[in-house]
Amino acid sequence: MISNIAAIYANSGRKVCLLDLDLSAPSLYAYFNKTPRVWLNDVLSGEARIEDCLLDLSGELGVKGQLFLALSSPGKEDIFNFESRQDRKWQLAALRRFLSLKEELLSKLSFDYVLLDTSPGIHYWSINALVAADILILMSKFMDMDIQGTRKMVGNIYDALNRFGSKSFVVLNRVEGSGFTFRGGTPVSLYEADKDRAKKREDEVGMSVGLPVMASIPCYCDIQFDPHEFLFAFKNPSHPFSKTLQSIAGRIEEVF
Amino acid sequence: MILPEAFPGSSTLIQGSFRGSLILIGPPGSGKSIYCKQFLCNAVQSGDPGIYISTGESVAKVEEGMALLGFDVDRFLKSGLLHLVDLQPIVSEKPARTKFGISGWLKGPNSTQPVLDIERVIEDAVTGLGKPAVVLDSLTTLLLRTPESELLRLVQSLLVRLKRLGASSIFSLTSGNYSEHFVNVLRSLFDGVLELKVDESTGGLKRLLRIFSLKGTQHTSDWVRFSISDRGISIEEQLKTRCAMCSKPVGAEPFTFEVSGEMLHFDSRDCLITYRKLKSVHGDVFR
Repeated sequence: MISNIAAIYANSGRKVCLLDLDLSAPSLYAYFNKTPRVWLNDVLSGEARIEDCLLDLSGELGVKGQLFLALSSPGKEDIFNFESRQDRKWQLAALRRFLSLKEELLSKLSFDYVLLDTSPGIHYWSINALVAADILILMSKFMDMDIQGTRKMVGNIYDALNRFGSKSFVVLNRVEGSGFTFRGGTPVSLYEADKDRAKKREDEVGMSVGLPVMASIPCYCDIQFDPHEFLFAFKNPSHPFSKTLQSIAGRIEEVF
Repeated sequence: MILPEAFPGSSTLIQGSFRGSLILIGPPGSGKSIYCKQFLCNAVQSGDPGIYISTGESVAKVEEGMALLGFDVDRFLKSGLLHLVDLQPIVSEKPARTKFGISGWLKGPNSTQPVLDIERVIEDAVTGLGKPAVVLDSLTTLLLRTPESELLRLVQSLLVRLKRLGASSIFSLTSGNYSEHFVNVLRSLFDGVLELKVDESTGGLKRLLRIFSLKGTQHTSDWVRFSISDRGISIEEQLKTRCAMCSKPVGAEPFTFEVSGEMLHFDSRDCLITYRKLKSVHGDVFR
């Protein structure tokens, strides 16, 4: 979702930076099929500057604005190095570098948005990413197990961060309702056709986890089972999935 | 070897080096002239030729002020490394030991065109000096007879000349009721803008300095307290305290937070909030 949102912002003329802060299980390098010369790990270790690590995808994607990527290394050594090898002093120094890096991206390099992709678990660097962000979006599936895990996470982390001004939301992913019905000859998704039901479900989840639900994304088979899905919402802007992501992008801007 | 400061306090306030032109703006009594003298004394002591152009004080007063900062004025005047230029609008009470100057230009024969005279005198003073440090203290006095537009032209022309020489310079201006256009253009002509102010809100008198802008450097823009003693200008001890979050020097009005009886200082509200967020989720492990 975050890659699609980044592309939506970039295509609306914004200068966007997407950082892969899932240091223990990086995935954006595979999603974008890129191997940079300098990884984000090198920047956080103090061995490189953020400018050296940024990949400019603007021309390649043909967005109206600018989209830059900073990728986290999938190398076993690099992951182990960050997760468990370094002592607390080293981790604190890396955290300071990360916080000044964020400031540099926004003030010196004039990015409109810095999007941080991280895992939902209680890992040291996931928490650091959440702390650095102004708006937190927690993706959850509409399943008891996921909802329960989300509730636990909110109690452990998000509540504490919200007390200091963070704004947190849940986005329900892969909800039912991707089938189509016809209204006046026009195909409409079942999700769109029964918004009341969706709203009720969002309210229930919101009450249960203790965070407002920003949106629900129906599960679409053409995306779910596409092995080569890549920036679908950017490439297919009229698809209902893309419309939902456009609306999420708009909601995030409203919250700002 | 310890490198000389680019300007008083710069080793604490900026990261990296700086050489260029600065405008120093502050109200009367905020320490502009002393700051300018300290700047020039530091430069001369480190081997650069220095030119002090005084429009408000007599050259004798400038010498006295420098001596009070522990500077050996006689030695450097004799060695030819220090030049004092008298540009007072009225005639000095005491004859100046300087070969440059048009003291008394307000009543002199050329008073209708003081800008041309001033330009010529300054050009004479800087010629052949290599990479000098130059002070013009202050532009305010020149405005007595020089229209704002003429003064802007003079400053621009001088700065171009000084840049060619690779000079570092400070021009001072007393904050006051100038046109917005004049102030904006003037500020834009320089590589950096330093501001001074005096704070009496807590009873005593506090002198504060901040770097408003400085091209090509990373710097704090917080107001920092400085003091003046016989050892010159010094950024006060509190500035040597570092932000518990980002490690930058903490300004005159730090944000504080007590943890287990220890007072932590932060340079900004953002840093304080980030620290509290981290502490709230990482627990006591995070220090």
